[in-house]
Amino acid sequence: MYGTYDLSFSYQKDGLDLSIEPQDGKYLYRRTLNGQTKTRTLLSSGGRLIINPVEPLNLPKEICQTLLVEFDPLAIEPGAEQMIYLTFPIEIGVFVAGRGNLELLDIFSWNNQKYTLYGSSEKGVIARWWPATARSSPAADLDPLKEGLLSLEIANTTREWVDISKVVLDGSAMKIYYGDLVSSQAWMRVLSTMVAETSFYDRASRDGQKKAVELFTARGLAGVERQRFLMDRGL
Amino acid sequence: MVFDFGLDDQISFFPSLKWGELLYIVFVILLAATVSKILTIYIRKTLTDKVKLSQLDLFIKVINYAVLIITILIIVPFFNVELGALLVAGGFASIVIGIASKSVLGNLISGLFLLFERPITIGDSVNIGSVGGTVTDINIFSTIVKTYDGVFVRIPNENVFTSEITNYVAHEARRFEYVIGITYDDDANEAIRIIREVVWSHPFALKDPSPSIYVDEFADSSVNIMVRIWAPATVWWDVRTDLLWKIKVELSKNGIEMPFPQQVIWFQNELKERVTLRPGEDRAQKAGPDEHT
Repeated sequence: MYGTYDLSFSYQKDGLDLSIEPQDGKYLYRRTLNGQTKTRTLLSSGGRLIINPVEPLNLPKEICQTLLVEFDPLAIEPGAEQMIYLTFPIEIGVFVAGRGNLELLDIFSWNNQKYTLYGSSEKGVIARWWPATARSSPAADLDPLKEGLLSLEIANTTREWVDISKVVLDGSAMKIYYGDLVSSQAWMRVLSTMVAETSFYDRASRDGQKKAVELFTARGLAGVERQRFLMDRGL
Repeated sequence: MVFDFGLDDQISFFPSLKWGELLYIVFVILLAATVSKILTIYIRKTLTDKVKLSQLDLFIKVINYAVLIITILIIVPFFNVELGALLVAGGFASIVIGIASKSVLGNLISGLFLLFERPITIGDSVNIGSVGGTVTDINIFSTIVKTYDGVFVRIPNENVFTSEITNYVAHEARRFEYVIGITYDDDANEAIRIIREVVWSHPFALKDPSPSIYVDEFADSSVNIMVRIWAPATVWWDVRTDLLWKIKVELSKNGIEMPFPQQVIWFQNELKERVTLRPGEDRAQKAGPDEHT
């Protein structure tokens, strides 16, 4: 499903019915999923339709920029550097590209959304919550339309064993690559038993993957957005 | 009509100033106004969708005040005013004006404190004293609130500063609660399970802090279940209104009803003697062995 298409396109799968068709000199975009339909009318002389996974922080509406992936607690030994493999929820963005500009048409997802609070109500942050299983090797059966592979490189810089059961990431810095597999790579530097710093790498997990159009970078102020998140409310 | 003066001629009604200088001053003022306007439009065009509205308005105000101060500094020397003397004179003037216009200065100083302390920002849902609504602007002298009915209210900053301020969105999350009454015949554990599922299915009913659902009271007509839910402060009202009806629908679907207020009345035995029987009516049908309800 992911890729670039002409402005005459239709796709049906797993309850999704997506189409964009010329109609009376305009283009009519229509998407139906889970009983909900979205339509947009485009006044355009032509262009391209881009469909790719986007940062999963937009549904049902955008209220935060933070993704919290929770997993069963892991104990990391002092000084260790370990890679674990988690997952992240997929939200799919539909863009129309024309005359050097990108317009977001729609975002949809097969996944349910759930939000949580990281930290206290007065000092914490709202985050999209996603439960995942921490694995030592990538899961082989990920549906690229529903789940992405999150590779997390954990470095324990302390002299103590540290228990970790979640990673909080700043979605505005998320770099997603897609192909047969949707993936993103992140790192977590544990600074104490309660504090860690996290961010994303900008690199693909496999050869042949394409970089997704970044929603938050397009909206944000170039060079000003935060790139790292400081987890100072517990690990 | 013929104008007979040169740019180097002094202005008759203001001898210390030449016509050329006056033109220059007018040009500087117009230029400053134009620059200020262009900067405001440019900043709004480029930053509106990238920074918070409150920060944007504050940034624009800082820019405009900066342009105003620069303009004054350029113009003031033409009026033979030395800046040092101006500051001394300004000091005395401010004392005199301060005494004469205490409330204006009070508002100004309160406004500056509010800008630094920032208990409220533009767009916040607040209660200031007896006024509840959304903050639409914070000026040097006053704060503008649009009430939930859409009414414009201007509150002097001195009042804002000295009033009790409740800011409903200052924190990231807030809690709200419902009391759900079910009949004494219904299973409270089942009702709690259903309510928990409905709350869990709502994206913005936060996972942590987790919702708290429990039997709270044996009331006159119902068993009351307390439901406490945390939601993001920006959407808590939407969540509150959305979830309440969903809970009602789901409980009804599972045969759990919310009772009307009701009262069981017991009559003493002797009242039984006063029951009037219609012709052909059986006494046993008319009333139970001991009581009538």
